[in-house]
Amino acid sequence: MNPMPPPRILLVMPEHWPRALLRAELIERGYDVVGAPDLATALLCRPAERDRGPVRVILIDQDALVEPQIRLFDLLVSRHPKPRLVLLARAQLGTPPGDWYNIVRKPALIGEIASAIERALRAAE
Amino acid sequence: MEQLTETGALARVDYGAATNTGRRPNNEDAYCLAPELGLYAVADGLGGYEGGEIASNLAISTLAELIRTRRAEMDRQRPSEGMERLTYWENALIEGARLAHQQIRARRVGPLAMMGTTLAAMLLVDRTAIVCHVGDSRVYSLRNRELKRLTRDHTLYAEMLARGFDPGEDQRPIYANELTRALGSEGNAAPEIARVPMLAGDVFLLCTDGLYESLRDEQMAQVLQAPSAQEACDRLVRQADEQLGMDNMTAVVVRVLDG
Repeated sequence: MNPMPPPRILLVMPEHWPRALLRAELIERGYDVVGAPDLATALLCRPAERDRGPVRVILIDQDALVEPQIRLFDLLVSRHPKPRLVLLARAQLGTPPGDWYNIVRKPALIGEIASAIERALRAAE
Repeated sequence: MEQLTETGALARVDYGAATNTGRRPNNEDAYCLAPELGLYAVADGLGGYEGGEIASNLAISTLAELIRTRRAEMDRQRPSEGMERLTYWENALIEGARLAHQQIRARRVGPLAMMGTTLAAMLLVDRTAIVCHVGDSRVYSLRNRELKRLTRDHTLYAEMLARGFDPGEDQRPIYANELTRALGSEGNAAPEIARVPMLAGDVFLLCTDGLYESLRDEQMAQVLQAPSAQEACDRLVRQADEQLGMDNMTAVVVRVLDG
């Protein structure tokens, strides 16, 4: 058993391919990553799982913050112990309310998004 | 067998309890009947987690011990006014739940690393029932044959509905099984408190999910009209078991004889 499991990163991104690519990039960098297409599915990521660390960072694609799913946003955040939030924002829309640690605007490279998540993760530790 | 207990400043009540393992290998539910304290409770050790049995018993014993200590302190002091006394006991229940949470967390090592529990407790003070709960164990009241749920489940499903988001009937079991609060958990363990005025003839049911998920509300309402609390408990658990309930099931019933 790993005595100090790495923290988890939760990705909430509706589009499958960008989510899969970002997950692969973060795993390559040594992180434990969980992906979900929407907020309702993301809620099923448990706060505590055997041999896995706590969720420290949640990346949310702005496209996931739509009615009626957006009503679950506060529930998702409250489910984990003080996670840092990173917003993957649309290019030209206003920023939705939220305690965002980092905001990355589209279009963005997978590496840029991964680095923004890493910065949030370091700040959370 | 009907048991009548004179509890000093407390209401005269008839109480009982029953539990069954269902189709599980062991019973991770625990319950408490402490009429001398006015305290009744059930706890459901988290299903599938090792140590659920330890967590539920730890929660019950910690809470009962705390209430016992506070009762002894109260007996040495001058009796306070009604509202002040209710606040005192509400705080005692919250303190007991928090202490239980800490006790469980302190023991979450090795094979017990994932243990946790729900808790539904009721403390009778004067003519009021103070209800305290964490998780999806429930407290109901029956008055004039009408069954009323006094607690709100701390599950993802209930929280989603409260926000106006219905994941659909097919998704209900998935979200209903995910607790948003539990004692010993990494996340939220805050107890929720409610005050319920008590009248003679009121019946209270405290139960774990294995019981209420196997029975309809109408069935529970009918059985709760049984002539004794113990008979009601036995019938509730037997009927839930006959529905082939998979989970552990526990019922505690308190009948108020005079409020």
